[in-house]
Amino acid sequence: MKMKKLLCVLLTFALVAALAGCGKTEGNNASSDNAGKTTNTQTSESEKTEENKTTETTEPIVLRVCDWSDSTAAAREKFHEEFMKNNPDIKIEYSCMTIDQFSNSVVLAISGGDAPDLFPVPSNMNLPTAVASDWYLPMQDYVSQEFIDSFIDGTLEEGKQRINGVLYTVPENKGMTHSLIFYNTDILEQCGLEVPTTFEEFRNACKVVTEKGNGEFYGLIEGGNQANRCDVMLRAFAQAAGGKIAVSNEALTVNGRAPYDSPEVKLAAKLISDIVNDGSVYPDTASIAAPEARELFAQGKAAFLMQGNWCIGAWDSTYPDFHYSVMAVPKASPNGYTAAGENGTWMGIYKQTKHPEAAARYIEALYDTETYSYQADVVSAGSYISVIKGVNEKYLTNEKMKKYYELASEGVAIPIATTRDTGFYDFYGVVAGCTPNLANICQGIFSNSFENVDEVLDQLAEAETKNWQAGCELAGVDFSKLEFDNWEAGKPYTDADYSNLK
Amino acid sequence: MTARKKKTITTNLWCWAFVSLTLIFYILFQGYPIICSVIYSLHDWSGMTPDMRYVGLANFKNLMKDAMFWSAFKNSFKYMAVMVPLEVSVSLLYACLLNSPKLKGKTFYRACLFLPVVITAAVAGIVMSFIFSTGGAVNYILTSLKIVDKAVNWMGNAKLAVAAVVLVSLWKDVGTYMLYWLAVLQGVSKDIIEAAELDGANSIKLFFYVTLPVIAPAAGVIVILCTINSLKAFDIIQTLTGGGPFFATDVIATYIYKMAFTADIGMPRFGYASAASLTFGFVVIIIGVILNLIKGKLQRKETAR
Repeated sequence: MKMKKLLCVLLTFALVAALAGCGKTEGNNASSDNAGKTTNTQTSESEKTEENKTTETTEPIVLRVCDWSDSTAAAREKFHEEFMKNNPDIKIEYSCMTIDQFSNSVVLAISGGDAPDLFPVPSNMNLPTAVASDWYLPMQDYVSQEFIDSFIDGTLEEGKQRINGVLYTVPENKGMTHSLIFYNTDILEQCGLEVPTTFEEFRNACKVVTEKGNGEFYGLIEGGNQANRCDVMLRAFAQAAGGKIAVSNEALTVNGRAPYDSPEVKLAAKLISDIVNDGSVYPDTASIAAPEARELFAQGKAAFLMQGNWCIGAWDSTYPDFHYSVMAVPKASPNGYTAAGENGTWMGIYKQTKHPEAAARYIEALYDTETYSYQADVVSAGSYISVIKGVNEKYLTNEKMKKYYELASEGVAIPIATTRDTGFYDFYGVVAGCTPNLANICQGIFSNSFENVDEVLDQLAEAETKNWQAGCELAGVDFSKLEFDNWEAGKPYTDADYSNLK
Repeated sequence: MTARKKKTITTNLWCWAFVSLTLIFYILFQGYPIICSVIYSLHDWSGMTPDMRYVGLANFKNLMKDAMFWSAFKNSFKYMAVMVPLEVSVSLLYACLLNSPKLKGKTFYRACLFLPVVITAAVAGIVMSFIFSTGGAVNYILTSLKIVDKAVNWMGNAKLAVAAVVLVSLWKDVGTYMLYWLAVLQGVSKDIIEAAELDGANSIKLFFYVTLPVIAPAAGVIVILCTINSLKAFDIIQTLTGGGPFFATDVIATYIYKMAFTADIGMPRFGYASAASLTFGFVVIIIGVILNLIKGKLQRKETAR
């Protein structure tokens, strides 16, 4: 009998443990709004009590911060030291990941309710969706008006930092195009080449450099293993050919279709394909990521690299003897243009954080130009352009960054579907992408995987158009609003143009 | 209730008590995720937001029309078709050599061959991507020995990337199967070997006519394990090639990973990826069952002899 009882107890315990385990996990992953709301209410009630308790005791609050800002890592480390010195009640735990790592791990942490206290909006997500998913706290409840006013006018945008006027995030820096071309001045000089301005000149320059390099250096290098860089490159060349195409992660149609089969996109693909077939691309390009390409470029392995302004600070500190400059993307048409950069969404305070006030203190300090030197450090190092009033005028002294900024300022604004109709935020939340996508196709060109790239682009345009139509239907937005009839390639798309739309 | 029946019930209860802990862990870490996958596969869901939209079997229907899924599906089987014979035969060869009583320094060789197994696959993949790069050790050796004129772009060429993945996977996993074979070989009765040697059998005859028939039943288990593991291959491929160049090495696991966690526009497709993983999981189970049936049949035949 005793044995029976013991077994019953054991089995009951096992069953209860299993059910409790399942129940708890389900609760954490709960998709229902109710579950989320309950948790959040409880958190907000307990937040202040817990924060008060922590302040009363000597144990510092551990504030977890996570992002992918690798190019400013050194300045950030210095800032954290200063911040912790001034705020002994806060201990910073900072993780700098790659965008891919971030998207995979932090997103899972958010689903499990254990995200860092401060983290950026992932690149493939928009703020309205993130806020609707209960990811972020309204920041303005915790930061001062003085802090909000310190931002350059227009940098805290509706849909990107604000929802219905409520501030949720702050941008890391002033948005600039990420598709300018860096060139190695020593190599170009050695080969007797001028800065190329057309597709033909660019292809020829790559060829000449490769011939002169004789295996030591090549014409072009790119992080071909990194999809976003390939996507940026193909789009940038298509725009330089006068093509009407949206920037990465956005949708625009031309004549009712996704414009991936347009003559300009095909011309851009042909240019890259020709350079590859000429043997003018660094051999490992297809298998290296953007940071590796950046390093190899600075080591003199190639004459040209298309990347963003973040390279400047990194190169200047690591390779002080590296001679380089920056140029606009070569054009193939008088209508050719470079799309103006947009401010990113960047970082907000996690809705379930136990330390919202400490998180707000961190954010305020990061942009504080009186007590902290972070903004001055990153701008003077050439890492990026600040979004805080007066910083760039005072600290933008890096000549290369100045040139990059000048060239980037020539970028023209292109239409944005969410500006025309905010319903497109829902569209981006439901639309399914294609595989292979534009980035994959560019990667395929680098690895010489196609006999006829035009055919693949035709298929992509066809499939993507169908996906966008389905996405619009699901989101309840008008597919025809992805078309901007009054948009002329190469001409800036203005507020007046939005107003004049039918 | 008879005493015998009582005893049977008590024995059964004891058995359940002993397996209960494993069962609980199985339910939590295998059963629950499988059930979740089934639920997710019926939804259009990014995995990032709370809004799941029920779509029924639409994900499965779309999957059937997805050329990239079938390409990854084919690649998985091609990979398996190459890896299984290679791994089984090479590991058996190593095991036979290491089992030879004449060989000195067996422990050292065994450790060398087993070492790659203990290295994290992700680290091995990253290190190997450097070794196979145009400026890496492999190309250095090939060009130094004048085997090739200029550096070979292993990871940038579809066929060569597949070859590199196979070589690295073989290097990484062969140690595991070698250990299985060694365990089997050490179970072969020395009496039979000695008797065959006395009858004048040389090493080759000894292997084919004495050892092989004895170890054949165990081979079935090793082949099944190797087949299932090669169909599940992910970490080495993800870190070495990421499924590239242009999907040449994209297997089901890398396809699912991309679908679940990345997107060029819009959000990732977690529900769709779940449908892909269930479909492929189902296929792997069927293959496992078929192989098991074949193994059982062969074993019965062997016993009948």
